[in-house]
Formats: sequence, structure tokens, C-alpha cells
Amino acid sequence: MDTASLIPLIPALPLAGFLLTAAFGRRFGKGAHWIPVGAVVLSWLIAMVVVSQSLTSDQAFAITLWHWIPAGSFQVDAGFYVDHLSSVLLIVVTTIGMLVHIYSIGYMAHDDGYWRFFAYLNLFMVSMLILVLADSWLLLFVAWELVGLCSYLLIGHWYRKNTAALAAKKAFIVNRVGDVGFALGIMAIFIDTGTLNIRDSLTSLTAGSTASPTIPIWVVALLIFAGAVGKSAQFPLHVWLPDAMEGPTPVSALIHAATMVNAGVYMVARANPIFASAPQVMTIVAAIGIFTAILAASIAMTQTDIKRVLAYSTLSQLGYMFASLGAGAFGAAIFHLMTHGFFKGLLFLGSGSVIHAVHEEQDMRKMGGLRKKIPQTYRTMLIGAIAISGIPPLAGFFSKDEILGEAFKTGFYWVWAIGVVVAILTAFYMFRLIGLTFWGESRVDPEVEPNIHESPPVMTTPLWLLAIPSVLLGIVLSWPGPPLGPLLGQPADAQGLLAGWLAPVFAQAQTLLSRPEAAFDIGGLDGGLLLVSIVVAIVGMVAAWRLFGVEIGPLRGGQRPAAVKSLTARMPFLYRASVNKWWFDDINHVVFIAFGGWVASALAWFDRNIVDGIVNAIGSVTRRSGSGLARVQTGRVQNYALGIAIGLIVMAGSYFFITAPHP
Amino acid sequence: MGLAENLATYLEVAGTLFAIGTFGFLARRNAISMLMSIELMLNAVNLSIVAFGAFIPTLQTQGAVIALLVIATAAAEATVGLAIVIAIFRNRKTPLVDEYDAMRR
Amino acid sequence: MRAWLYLIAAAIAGGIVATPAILVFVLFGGTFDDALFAALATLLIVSAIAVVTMRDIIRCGLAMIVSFLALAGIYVILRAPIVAATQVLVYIGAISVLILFAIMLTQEKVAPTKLVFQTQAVPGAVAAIIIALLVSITALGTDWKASADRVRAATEQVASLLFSSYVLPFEVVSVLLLAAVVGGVFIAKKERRPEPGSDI
Repeated sequence: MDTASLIPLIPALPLAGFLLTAAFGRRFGKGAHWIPVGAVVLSWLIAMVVVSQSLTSDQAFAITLWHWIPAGSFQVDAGFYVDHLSSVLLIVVTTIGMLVHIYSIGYMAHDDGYWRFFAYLNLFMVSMLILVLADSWLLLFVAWELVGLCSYLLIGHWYRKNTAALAAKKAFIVNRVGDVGFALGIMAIFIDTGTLNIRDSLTSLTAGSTASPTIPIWVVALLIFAGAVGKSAQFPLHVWLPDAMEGPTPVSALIHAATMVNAGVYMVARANPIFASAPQVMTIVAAIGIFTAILAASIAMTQTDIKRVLAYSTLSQLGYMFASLGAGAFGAAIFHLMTHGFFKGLLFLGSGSVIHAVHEEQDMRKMGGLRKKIPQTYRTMLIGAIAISGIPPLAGFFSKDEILGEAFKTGFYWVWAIGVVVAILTAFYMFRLIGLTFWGESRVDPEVEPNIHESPPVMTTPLWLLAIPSVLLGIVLSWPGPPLGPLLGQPADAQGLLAGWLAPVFAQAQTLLSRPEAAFDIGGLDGGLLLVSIVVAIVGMVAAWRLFGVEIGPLRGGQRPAAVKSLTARMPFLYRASVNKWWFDDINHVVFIAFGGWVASALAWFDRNIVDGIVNAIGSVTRRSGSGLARVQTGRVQNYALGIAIGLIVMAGSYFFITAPHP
Repeated sequence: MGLAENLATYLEVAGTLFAIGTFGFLARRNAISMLMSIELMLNAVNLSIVAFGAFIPTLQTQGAVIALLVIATAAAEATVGLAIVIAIFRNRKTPLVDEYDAMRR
Repeated sequence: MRAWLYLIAAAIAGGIVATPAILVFVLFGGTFDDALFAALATLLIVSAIAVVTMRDIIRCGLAMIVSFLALAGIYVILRAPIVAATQVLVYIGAISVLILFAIMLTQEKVAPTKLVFQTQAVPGAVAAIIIALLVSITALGTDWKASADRVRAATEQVASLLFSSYVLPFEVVSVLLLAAVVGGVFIAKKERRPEPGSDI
């Protein structure tokens, strides 16, 4: 069978799942999950077939579904395109999507909207898959919006809860702000190139870079980056992601850790020729990315809700990805996207398992000592925490070190420096989370404590299935290249597996950026940077152990809440700023909501008093002059006679004036 | 002095009488007073007609004739006017015209 | 006591009337006609003012009669005796009597009111004065192409004119008088309610 014709099946199966579940799901009751989960599993299988075909050859598969818009000079086809970049994303999206679907069978078992949840999950899979596979900017934009819609529907799954509804609305609106820029960017692409096909527009934009296009390329790059800022929750549009934790935990895992927020990274990577032609925009991308990273990491240090910590952690890691993109290390960003998808998905699903165990309690101050009670969750989450902290040989170390190394080597020293600080903070807050949740004394509510039990296998199996890539993916994807390759005897210029796959995708950007290729020198600069990455990760981890306790194997240490208190007392401003999320929500409230409300009430005052006032004034003038004039009608003959006399005088007098001889 | 041979004199007197009648018509409150003022005005007009008849050659005796007809008409009008005043008095119980404001807005 | 008040009033009135006559006759050297005209004109104007300003309405009616008389005299000066005679007969004899009867029929039971004049008396006066000015400007300013002296309106000629070229207006006025009389009776008569039991 032709591989290209398999591609439409990948989004079509979840689409069928969505339609069937939406139509009949309610009737299936507890069995509503069979169709959607089955659809996603089948879709995963087909995706693996397509991906294996694509990655083992240099061939890219394209299929045009139909001629969408035939409007004179505006021609758009709806089609799918699979190259190595899409394949990598397909792996992430379908695998994690499938595991989240299976996990949700257990997590949402007691929920009233069971069928609704699966229907929307399937719809989300459809949108995300179309986004990754799209061959046209317009189709990508449609899928972009659809993904935002599914995010809204899923965050607000428990729509009766006020905070959930508000959070869903906030997510959608903040996304929209970014989407305005994205739409303008797409229009700019059309103006500059006359086509909305992704491949064609990219070639024509960079081929004609000597001639000056109507809209400068850096403007185009900036505009479509705005869309990425909104979708991937970078500063200043980051405010929706923490609130999005109101949704069920599988939603947080799937959408806000592994797939939707990666759409921005994917889009910038796909448009890498545009960005490479505009180096100033690349700097802006890197700046926003690394700033978001440290901002989010600083907030995560003091959050007490387990899911919030993970949300800010996602923001921070996404910042890393954008910093990497901005520094020109596109491959490293995609590497981190993959590894982060797996271990963040693992951490979120694990936190869901914890929440499930302590009966929907999300405050870490009411947890503790859960190590013995939910061992499988504990072990998988520990793996996830080690992975994200960048401790070798787990996955996070490889991708994070590559980002930092590339940043340093391309001259973005400030990105490297801030990135190192963020690495320390990341390790710190992750082990703080582990410590507060699993180690030390139990602070769980006494009523809940006897009922703490491990989650059912349908939930723990996905956890283990995600833990495996978290451990091995880094090694697998970077072999035989740096950093392990040179260490174990491979030639110094060998390319890693993932790097090899993605090299043709980013080749054009690399030539545009004209970076010299330097071999990996384990004994020199590269080795030094490697060492720094390892050291800072361990420093952060140990610092967290000192304050929040440790119970790994032979290592034991108690929690020191007094030390924590004295530490925070020494930095009151930073502590308060961190707890209040650097007051961004308050700023937004004052600037947009309060100010907007003030403007609205001023306009309402204007409308009521001036506009209506004018209308009412005209009416009252008419009425008053009418009643004033009506006073002439006294009903008395003599008054009328006086009027007649006056008229007579006027007429006779004017006759005099008219016929008087003029000098 | 030629007062009595001057047409203008008679016209002046007629005008003054007419003005007095107008004032009385506009200013008095009693309906009968208004009618009396109307009679004054009619008389003023009559005087001017007769004066014209006496002085203008082409109007020789016609002035007097017209004056006679005017007197007859004035009589008819006074009759009907007074009848109306009496009828209204029976209804309103007052001869004062500022009370007759049923046609007020 | 009342009697000699009336005598004084009559003397004043006579004085008022006689003064301009004497003035004209003696001071300005006018003819007898001029003096007579001055006296009658003064009487006319004064009594007319009395008609419109006096409080007691009966006195107004009597002043009106005096003014009619003065006017009749002026008609005689204008050499139109038939008009003078008709003026006395109709105006004083019929209309004034009618007015006096009407005053009698419409007298209020309550005491005479305080206000003689309306609130619009002042604008009315102003309007009247302006009208007088307009008329006098017209009268003095126009060249009437008048003959030098009054022409007599002989009664026979008046009669023949009345029944030859003015016969249509004559007949119409008589119909008008008939209509006025019938209408006046009809308007002024009391409404009779049909008595219960009668078959009207």
C-alpha cells in the first residue's frame, strides 16, 4: 500500500472516534472509552508505520486531499506532508496521546462526563495531528485554532466549576491574542510569496532574499512568532498555562505538557528558513525564551499546588526550547521537545495518580510520606524528576546539555548563563516537589490517610511506559553522536540519530546562518560545558535534599521546615514575588480589565449622558417650545384680537416701508 | 383756518376714533363694552366714508349712500352680537370675556 | 348735595367742549363752521374715551349715545343731513337702546369687579396708538385730489342713487336685517324644556 495514502488515516480515525462518541457516547456509559481509545491506538499503529517508512529513507511523503480554495490568484490546497520533522512530532503526539487515553480510562472512571471527555480528547488528537501534518499555512492555522478550541473545551470539562470556566476562557482569549499576530504573519507570507503552501512559500521567501519583498522577512518572522508566543505560553502570554491546571490531569499531561504547547516550537522549527533570514528576530526569540524560562522557574520554587509546580516547569522548559531555537540550534530544540514530552507527560500523569490517591487533594503541604503507600507512582515520578533535572544518563541531561552547549558555542553567552541558573532552579524545585510529596512525615488529612491506595493498572501501566523513554530516549537519540559517542570511541564528527534525521530539515537555516562546524571536543570546551551541566544539576538536587529531605536508597535526611523559613525570611521580596507569580496576573487585571472597565464605563457615561442627552435634549426642546408656543392659545377672543391688531400694524407698516420713496 | 374744509381733518378724527375703539375692544373685560367699542370703530369708518363722499368729486353722493348701508349693517351686527352675549351669559353666568376660555389648549 | 355736583360736572363738560371752539374761532380766526367742528370733534373724542375707560357700564352706554350725537353733528357739517338723521334714528334710537337692554340682562349679581381693564390693556393701548399714527400718516401724506369745499349730498339724489345703482346692496341689506333679527331672536331665546306629559 502506498505510504502516502495511509497518512490521511492518521487524523481520520480519531475524527471518526470523535463523531461516534459525540453522537452515541452517552448511551455507552462506562463503555464509552472503547471507540475513542481504539481509534487512537489504531492511529498510533498507522503513524508508526508511516514514520518508520519516512525516517528510514530520505523520502518525504505528500498527499493532496482536495483543492480547497480556488479563487483566482488565491489558491489553497488541503494536503498533508510528512518529512522527518513531522515524523518526529508524530511519534510524540501519537504515543503520548495513546498513553493518556489509556490512563484516562482509570482516572476519569467516576466522572459524569466520561463520554464527553473522550470525545473531546479524540477531537484534540484530530486537531493536533492535522496541525503536524499540514502542508498549507491556512490548514495549519485552522488546526491551530481547533487545538485552542479543544483546549478550551477540555480545561472547562468541569464546566460547573467557576474557576474552571474562567480558566478555559482565559486560555482561549490569551491564545487569541497571539493568533492575531499569527494570522497577520500568514497574510504577510501570502503577500510576499503569493502562495500558502508551506514548502513553496519557504523556498520562495528564502530564494528571493536578495530582492526586497513587500513585507520584510523580519516582520513576517516576528508576526508568526507572536502566534508561537501565545500557543506555547511564552512571556508575556504565559498567564493562561498555570490557570489551565483547572482541567483534569490527563488534559494537563496531554495538552499542556506534551503536545499543544509544542505546536509553537514545531511551527518555528518548520519556518526555520524565515527565522534564519532574520537574525534580529532570532535574538528576540532567544531572549523571550530564556526570560520565560527563568521567570517560570523562579515562580515554581514557591508554589504549593503540585500541578502548578509542573505547569511552571513546563513554561520553563518551553522557554529552553525557544531559547535554543533563537540561538540557531533547531535540532537541539526538537530533541528537548521529544524528551520533555515524555518525562513531563510522565510527571503529570504521576501527579494525577498522587491526587487520585489522596482523594483530589492538590496542595503539597497536605501530602508527605507517600513513598511507601503508592510505590509505583513514587518510583516513576522519581525517574521523571531525575530526568527533568538533567542528571545523566537520563533523557533530560542529553537534550538540556545540547541546548546549553549550542547556545554557548554560537556566542549566546547570556542564554547559556541564564540557562545554567535555570537548570539549578529546575533541579531544586523538582526535588522539592518529590520531597514534599513522597518523603518525610505524612501531613495528609487524617480522614483520608487510611484510604490511600495505589492506582489501578490501567493508570500505572502508562506511567511505566512513559518512564522507559524518559530513561533511554536520550541515549538512543543522541547515539552515535555527542556526548556519549566520542566518550565511547565513536568518531568525533559522528552525528546523533535525531540530528541525522533532522539535518535535511534545518540545512537551509544552517547555511543561512553560516555557522562553522566544529567537531565535538570532549577534552576541551565541550567537555567543560558538559561538566558544568552535570555539576549544576547535582547542586540543585542536593540543595533541595538539604531542605526537603531525601530517602533514596542509602541516602537519608530529614525535612527542615525551619531552615526553609529562615531562608525565605532572608529574601522577602523575591519570595513574595515568586509566590505572587511576579504580579503578572495583577498587572494584566489592572491594565486590561480594570482599565478596560474604566474605559467602558466612561464610554457608557458618554453614551448615556451625551448621546442620549442630545436626543433627549432635542425631544425636550421640542416639547418645551411646543408648550411655550401653545400658551398663545388662551381661548380668549381679545388675545386673538390683539394678535390681529399687531398683524395689521405690521402689514400696514411694511407697506409704508416698501412704498416709501427711497433716496 | 380751513379746518372744516380740509379732508384731512375729518380723516384724522376718524382715525382717532378708530384707535379709541380698538383700544376699548382690546382692553375691556366686559363683553358689552367690547361691542360698544366695535360700534365706535364702525362709526369711525362711516365718518371717513362720508368725508370722502363730501370731498372727492367722483364719489359725490355715493359716500352718503354707502354710509346708510353701513349703518344698516352695523345694526344687524349689533343685534346678533348682543343676542350671542346674552346666550353666553345664560351659560357662563358672567359677562367677562376672560372667563370664556373653553377653547384654551 | 348731589344736584350741584351734577351741575359742576355739566359745567366742566360744557367748558371742555366750548374751549376749543372758542380757541379756534377767536385765536385762529376760523369760520363758524370751523369752531362748530372743533367743538363737536372734541365732544366726540372725549365721550369716546369715556366709553372705553369708565368703570360703570351704564355710564359707558350713555357716553356712547353722546358720541353718536356729536357724530351726527359732524355729518351735518359735512353736508350729509340724511346720514345724520339716519345716524340718530338708528344708532341712538335702536342700537343704543338694544345695548342698554343687553346690559340690563347681563348684569352680574355680585358687586362690580375691581379690574376694568385686561392684562393686555397696555399692549392694546400701544397697538391703538400705532394704528392712529399709521392712519394719520396716510391721511396727511396722500394727495387725495380733494375738491376745495364740501359737496352737499342732497337727499333726493341719495334716494335716487339708492334705488337705482345701489338697489342690489339695498335689497341684500334688508335680507341681512331680516336674517339678523330672526337669528338674534333664535339665539337669545330661552330653551323651553318639554313639560312631562305634554306631547311636544
